[in-house]
Amino acid sequence: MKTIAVIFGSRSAEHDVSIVTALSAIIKPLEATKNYSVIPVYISKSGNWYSDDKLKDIKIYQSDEINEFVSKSQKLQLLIDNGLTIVKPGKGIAKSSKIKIDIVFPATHGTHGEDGELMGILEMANVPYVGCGVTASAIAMDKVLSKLVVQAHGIISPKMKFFTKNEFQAQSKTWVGTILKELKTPLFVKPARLGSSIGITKVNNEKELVNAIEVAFHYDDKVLIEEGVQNLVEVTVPIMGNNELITAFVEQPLPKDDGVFDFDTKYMNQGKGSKSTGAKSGSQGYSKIPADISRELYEKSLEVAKSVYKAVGCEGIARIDLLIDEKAKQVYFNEINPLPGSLYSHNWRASGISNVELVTKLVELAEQRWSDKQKYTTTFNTNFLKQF
Amino acid sequence: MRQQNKTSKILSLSRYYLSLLSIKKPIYITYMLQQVEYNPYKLWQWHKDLGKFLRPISKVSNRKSLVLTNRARLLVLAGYMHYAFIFAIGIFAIGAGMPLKNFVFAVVISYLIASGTSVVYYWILASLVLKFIIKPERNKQRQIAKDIFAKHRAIKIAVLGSYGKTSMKEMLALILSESKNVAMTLGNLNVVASHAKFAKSLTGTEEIIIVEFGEGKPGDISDMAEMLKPDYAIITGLAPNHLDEYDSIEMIAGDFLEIQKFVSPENIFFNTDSEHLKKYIPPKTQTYSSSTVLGWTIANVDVKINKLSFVMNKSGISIKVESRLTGRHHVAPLALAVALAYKLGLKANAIELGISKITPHKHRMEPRQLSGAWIIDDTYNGNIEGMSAGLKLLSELKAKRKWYVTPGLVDQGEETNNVHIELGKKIAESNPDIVVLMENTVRPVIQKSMRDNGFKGELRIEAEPLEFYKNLEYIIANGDIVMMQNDWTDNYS
Repeated sequence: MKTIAVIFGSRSAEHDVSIVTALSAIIKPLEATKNYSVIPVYISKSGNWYSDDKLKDIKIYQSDEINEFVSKSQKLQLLIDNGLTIVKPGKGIAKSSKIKIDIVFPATHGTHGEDGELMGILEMANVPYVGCGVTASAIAMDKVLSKLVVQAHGIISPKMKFFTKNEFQAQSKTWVGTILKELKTPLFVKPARLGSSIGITKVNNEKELVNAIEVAFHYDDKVLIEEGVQNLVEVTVPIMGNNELITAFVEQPLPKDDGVFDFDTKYMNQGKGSKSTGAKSGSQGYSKIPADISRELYEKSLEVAKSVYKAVGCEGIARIDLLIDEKAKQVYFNEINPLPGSLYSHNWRASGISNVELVTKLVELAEQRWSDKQKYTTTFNTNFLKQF
Repeated sequence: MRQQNKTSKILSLSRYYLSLLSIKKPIYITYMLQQVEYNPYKLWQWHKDLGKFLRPISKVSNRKSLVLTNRARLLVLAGYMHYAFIFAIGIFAIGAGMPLKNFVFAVVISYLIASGTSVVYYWILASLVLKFIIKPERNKQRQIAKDIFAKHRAIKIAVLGSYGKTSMKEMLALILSESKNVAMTLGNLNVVASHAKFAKSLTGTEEIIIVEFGEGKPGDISDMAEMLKPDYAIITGLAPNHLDEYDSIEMIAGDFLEIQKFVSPENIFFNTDSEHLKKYIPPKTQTYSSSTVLGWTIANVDVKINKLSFVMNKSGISIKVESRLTGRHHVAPLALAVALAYKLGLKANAIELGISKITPHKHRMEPRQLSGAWIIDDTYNGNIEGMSAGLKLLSELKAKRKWYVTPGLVDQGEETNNVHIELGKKIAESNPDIVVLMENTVRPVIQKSMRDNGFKGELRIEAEPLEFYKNLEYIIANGDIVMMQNDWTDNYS
């Protein structure tokens, strides 16, 4: 039986979402396969690592029990020895224990996890892991970078401006003036490297713009401002695969009355306040599966999503968010989620792929990629050192 | 591997024997007595099975737990008194006035004797409870009920059969209720004690009374018929059930046919869709089926996962039946309910309205959605004919992937092997994509029969049924249909 470590939590605004992803969409289905021994690895909000079977139970996080657990438990150590071993240090007379990890299933969202940092550790350890690699994760997490990459591949995205905190503070009035002159309102102000729609504001005038930029800088030191798409239909496409891609349904999240599909709409309200009717509630709030768009736009969305996935170099799984101008029949790239919340398993299930099949397939893809990589030579013998 | 098996066997043996010494043993045995309705024979059978499969006694209450009724409290107390009594004798006989080591020896020996004899003790206790408490009380209640029914002027309908009784009774009551004052026995409460309670609840104003007759052992049907004196009787089907109490299926049929002593032949309705029942139908009695019933013809049958519709015609009258029930096997009982309602004076539109109110009974071919898939919950199904109906439905429905989940059937007595060979054959014929069998005594029989009959799909064997049910939502997806038939209670696990 192979041992899979599911890593979740971490120093991220999406820490709590990550717990739900790990527990409900990954650990339970993996255990239901009866093919794996599943080790939960929890990264606390302060960045310490822990492992214990107790961490598989959602109840521990719903009360202060998690704080008590964190304060009393021994922190985990990682041993990198051409593979990954987790070491639980001994306490008192208890000996330390080691568990060799065969595969890692990252379940972290946002910073310090989904952004490529965790993948870097796993690459160093040379252990198979599920999902996008370091480069794709880092590009995907940076909304500016991902747009620049996909644009280079001929995929369109809404017109944008971006700057760092220092750049903005040095010339804030000039930036605001340029933005209002060159971009058409409404505008969307976004922290460049944050997921789950946190910190995103829709603005229509200068005052709102300045306030929104200030809010966005609370979350990140890089901010982008985008033009809103007219006659907007927002859709998202879950994709899995390394070389051969499988798509789930094109899904249509339904925004709140202000037109923003934000954190609350996604995870808290279950779509309350939505204008639309006839929608189904998924784990990600209210949405229509499949999206209520023309056949032509549906097919185009699938094509654009797959092109984005390839352009960024995604592997394993990702979700591509698109913006559609329904009248102009134009599909714009919006952003990539290299680890969709709860793996978007509600959509995969609707597409006929059960949670168990989903996680099993993702583990297979991880092993396949790792196995392919082992074929490459990573060293090169030279006489370089002898000259010194 | 052999060493591993040996170690595992030794561990199972140790766990089993250690569990028999549990101080909670009286509680576990009382729980099982509740589960087997204080039947001493079934208690003994269950205890034998524990030893056969080395199941620790502490694991008996998986699905339910002991309900602390007064009777249960008394039985638990009596269990501990048995321990105290043996202790007293032991200490008196071996240890009294002796040094400490003799006292300890006496305690240990007494405990072992008390533990070892507790099941026999409870067997005797259950037999006494049955003979001196339950039976006399039942007789008293039976007489009260008999007097109430005798004075009541309502039309009385008895519903009996190996399966489909509750559905038949409820659909008939729902349709008749559109223009009659109807009372029926609730749920699957179909024994003398529950009938007595039901009789006491009647107001005297009811126009129609429908009573479900359950057959648990020979003589039950005539016992209930004697009490109710029905005007009509419906026999829904025959299957080899309760073969631990009945010697054969002929004996069950004989019990059903006892109804002829109480109801005139033209008012007894036999379901000819039931293969087993067909050969026992006496002449001059009425029959009903999915093609004809009381002179009505049935046409345009359409089976969907959550809908069943057909049309009934007779002498220029047409009734459209559109129900939310699942499965072709509902056609005959629905049609009989319609025909009987018409015979008892209901108009076609009232009948149609009544039909529209019929919903699937809980856990009986009850379709529901989970994770985008359809689950057909038929976990209250406990006979081979019902299983066959479910498997036929599964093969009839369209799905991307079809699942069939069952632990097999209980109470099959000497027919256990044959019934499960038949079940395996029917599974192979239905040909689901995935079959999930629960690990138990009948699993190898079903599995072999499936293989012998050419089953080509995937077979999964689950050691922990509850874990499987909990994980089901992760295993299935849109396009799947999962037929779940029967569920074993703790005394059969």
